[in-house]
Formats: sequence, structure tokens, C-alpha cells
Amino acid sequence: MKYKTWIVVLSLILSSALLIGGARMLSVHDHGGEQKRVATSFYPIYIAALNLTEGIDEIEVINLTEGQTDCLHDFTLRPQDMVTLEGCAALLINGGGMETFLTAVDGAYPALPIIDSSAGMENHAAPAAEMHDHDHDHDHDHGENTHYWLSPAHYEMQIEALCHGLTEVFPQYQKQIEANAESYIADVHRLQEAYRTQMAPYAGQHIVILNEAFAYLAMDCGLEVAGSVHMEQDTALSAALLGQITDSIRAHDVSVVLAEPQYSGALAQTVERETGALVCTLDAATGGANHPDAYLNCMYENLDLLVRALKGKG
Amino acid sequence: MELIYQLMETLLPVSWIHYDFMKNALLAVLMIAPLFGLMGTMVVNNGMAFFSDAVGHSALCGIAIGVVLGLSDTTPAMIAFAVLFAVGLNLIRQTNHASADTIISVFSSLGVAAGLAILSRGGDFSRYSGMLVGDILSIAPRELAYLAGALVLTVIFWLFGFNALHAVSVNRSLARSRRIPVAVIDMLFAVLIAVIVTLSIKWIGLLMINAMLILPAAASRNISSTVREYHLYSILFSCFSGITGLVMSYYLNIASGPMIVILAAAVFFVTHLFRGRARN
Repeated sequence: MKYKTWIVVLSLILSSALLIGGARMLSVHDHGGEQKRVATSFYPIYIAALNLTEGIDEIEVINLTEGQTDCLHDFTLRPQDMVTLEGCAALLINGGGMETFLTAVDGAYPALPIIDSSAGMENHAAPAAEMHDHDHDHDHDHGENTHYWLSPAHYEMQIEALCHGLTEVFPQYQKQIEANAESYIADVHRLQEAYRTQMAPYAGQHIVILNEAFAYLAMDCGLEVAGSVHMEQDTALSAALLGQITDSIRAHDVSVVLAEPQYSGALAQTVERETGALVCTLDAATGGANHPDAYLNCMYENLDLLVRALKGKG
Repeated sequence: MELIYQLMETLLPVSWIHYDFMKNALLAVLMIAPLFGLMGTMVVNNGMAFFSDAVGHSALCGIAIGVVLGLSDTTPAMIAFAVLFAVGLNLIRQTNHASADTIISVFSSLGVAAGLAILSRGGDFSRYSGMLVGDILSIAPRELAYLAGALVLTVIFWLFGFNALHAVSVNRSLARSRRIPVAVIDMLFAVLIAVIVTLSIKWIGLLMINAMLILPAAASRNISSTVREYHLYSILFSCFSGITGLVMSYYLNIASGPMIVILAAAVFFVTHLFRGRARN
């Protein structure tokens, strides 16, 4: 080999060693200790798991998608996530196909127990996945609406499923986990009651939702969904669909449109300008404080916003 | 496969090698890197950089067609569409007087637009947005076999077709006078790019695949003075950024694809500094 080629090869090897060495020093690998870890796929499941394991110091809950604030649609596993999963006793998921990265997990850790919070959910009422203008014939298939947690009633079932799974993985903590589940379900039940009583005057009222996630919330509140858009970050909305939403709002005299800031900010403003309907921006509870009460606080806030919006125009 | 795994664990006494996904990812990088290094030299030489990018974009349309046809694995649909796309583009490029980048741009935009249009009617784009950044960590042993096949195919094409392709890149008329089937070589090369880009898109990501293809060759061009050096350095740079990027991404907890591309770009800038000196 020529002198120049040797220089190139040697400098590449040297740089590689330096870079890897440097990266190793900055390494983020710090898991260890005697704690048993469970991983959750994303925020609402993480908050549920925090509640279920409250007071059990030996179980540490890790959220795989920490810092991620949407519904996992474009989440890619990083090497560290796969490493995190290796030491885990179980992976808690929302289920229903929301976690698209599961095939990679399955391939790498076939023995890792996966606790699906939506187990048995198929037997319960789910809102229609999507409604456009009713005159049109649509053959869309957007799959099931898996934003269960936005219905306190469904969230209760998720907690039960997670509790059942966790007690199987940690039989030694069964009593404590079950007691935690009971207390958290009681809290969520109170939330459900609050929704029922405060939303009772508005039952049957038509609304339009700009994120299919809110279909569950509308169902719990007894609101009729006159139009719904399957809105994701990357979807370009067709003019026809925007026209259909506007038509539905006018046809059903809809006064409130539910939107989520992340996906539908600009769209919401367009709809508001076009129809004069009030846009109520709610939190889909997909990110926030890492506190056991975070879900409850967020849902009570949503209730407040919803009541205010319906009162304002209703 | 077990034998390869054992061999890797013996040869590399580092903690991350105990994870099967890292072993698979490293094997994938060891195949993709030389493959792209080699392919890149030919792509850069023949002015096809923009073409490979267009093929990457057309993958979206391939996915959309696969989804509409109800295929559980959209890869065959993607490859079939990419090959059709490459053949169509090449035919029009040969018969139309507009410049190559104009024609490629027409096809590239059409591919993306058609893909988005089909998905907005009957699919769900967000489910496939993972394709944009790719995920080399989820590669399975079966898919490693596809990559190995692609590598063998590329090496064969390089061994038997490089001289002809090089002649075409220097001067088409001269190549024709030397009885080189210019149109056939062009077409074969376009189809090969289409197949390789589509096969690797899932692992490297649509947004970065072209960088992986172009950067090592471009960096190598900065400092090489012979064709032999040009190919050798391109493969070396590609392997360096692939392997170092993967290992760094493990330690720093950064997505692997972007880390690899950042290193490849760094190599380009460093070689740029030595540009004049190394050539002399």
C-alpha cells in the first residue's frame, strides 16, 4: 500500500478510537442496582404505572418515550431504549397497535412479558373511528381508535388490565399493587362522575373533533360527534375534507370544536375563521409532569375548559 | 447465525456486543457501508446523485401502493415500483432534451405527490413516517440476507460493468464508438440503484439515504489521485462512519442513522481541508 493510504487508514482508526472513547466517557449507561424495573411505552401508561407501584420502592418505572409528547406514531427505538428493555421485568403498553415498534422489541427480547392495557377492550364500546360528510361513501380504513385513556371509563379498564399483569410479574407485591389500583380507580371513578354530572346539561349536543383521540372523551360526555378528522402531524388535509368539516359544523349547528394544539393548531384556526364555531383546545394527556396525579389534573382541566366552551356558546 | 454471533462476541470484548440487536446492526453496517461506498463512487462519477435521491422519494409511492393492495410487507411493492420508476425515468431522460436534473425533479415530485395522494385517500401516512429516519436496530437476520445479496450483486456489477460505466461517464459518444452498449449499461445501473436504495431505506431512512451514498465518495474524491484510491477510500470512509457512528450512537443514546451521516459529513469536511495537498 502507498504511504498516503497508510496515513488515511491510520487516521481513520485513530479517529474512530478517539471518538468511541470520548463517547464512552460521556456514556449515559447508568442503570444498575438492585431495583426491579418496568418500562412503559408512553405517558398515560407511565402515569398509571406510577400509581400502581406507589410505595413499592423496589420497583422503578421507566418511560421509554420520555420527552415525547405525541402518540408514538413516529417513535423510533434508540440503542439505549433496547438496552433499557433488557433489564426490565415487563413492558407496559397501551396496545391496540399504537406501539408500532413492538416487532423490534419482540425480535430482540422474545421472553420479555408485555402487559397490554387494552386486553379485553374489544368487547367495549369504541367510538367510530372517523366520520366525514355522511352523504359520501368512504372506504377508508384507519384502524381502531386506540386513544382509550381519554375516556376515564376506558382508562379504568386499562388500569385494571395493568394491575392484573403486574401482579402476575410481581406476585410478591400483589397486595400493595391491588390496593394501589383500588385507590387510583376510585380517583378515576370520581373523575368520571365529575364528567357525568357537569356534562349532563349538554348531553346530545353536537361537536366536531379535530383529533380522533377526543372521540372517547365525547362518548363519555354524551356529546354527539358530528364530524371528526383523523389528523396527524404529517397529514396534508384535502380541501374536500376541510369543506366537509365546515358543512358538518353548519348542518348540525355545532358551536364547539375540540382541537389538540400539537396536531391541529393551524387547522383549528382555519375552521374557526370559516365557521365562527368556538375552538376549544384540550390536552390529550400524552405528555407533561412525571407526577402520579398528572393524568387526573389534566383531565379535570379539560373538563373545566369543555364546560366553559359549551357554556360560552351553548 | 449462532456461529457468527459467537465469533463476534469472541473477537469484540465490549459490553454492547452481547445484545443481539447490536450484533445485527453491526452486521448490517458491515454490509451497507462497503455497498454504499462502492455504489457511491459510481453514482458520483455518473452524475446520478440526484437520481438516487429521487428513487428514495419514490419509495413513498411504492409504500402507498403496497398499503392500498393490502400487502403486509410493502417491500416487494416498493422495489417493483422503484424499478419501474427508474426504467421510466431513464427512458424519458434518453429521449427528452430537457436536462437530467429537470426530468429527475419531475419524477421525484410525482413520486412523492402520488404517494401522499394515495395515502391521504386510503392509508395512514403517520404509520410509515418511521421510514423517514429509518431504524437499523430493528433489522432481522432474514433482512441481513437481503443486504448480503445486494452486496454480492453490486460487487458483480462493479467487477464486470465498472469499466464500461466509467467510459460512459467520461464520454458517451466515445463509449459508443468502443461498442459499449451505453443504453443497456445506463439502464442496468439505474435499476441497481433503485433496488439497493429501496432495500436499505428501512434501515437508513429516506431523509438520509442519499447522504450515505454520496458523502463517502465525495470525501474520497477530495483526496484521491487514482481511480483505485477513489474506490478504496470511499469504502474506508463509509465503513469508518458506519461502524464508529453505530457504536457512538449506543454510548451517547442518539439515533444511529443521523450519527452515521454526521460522521460521514465530518470526514468530507476534513478531507476538503487536505484537498490540494493529498492530490499532489
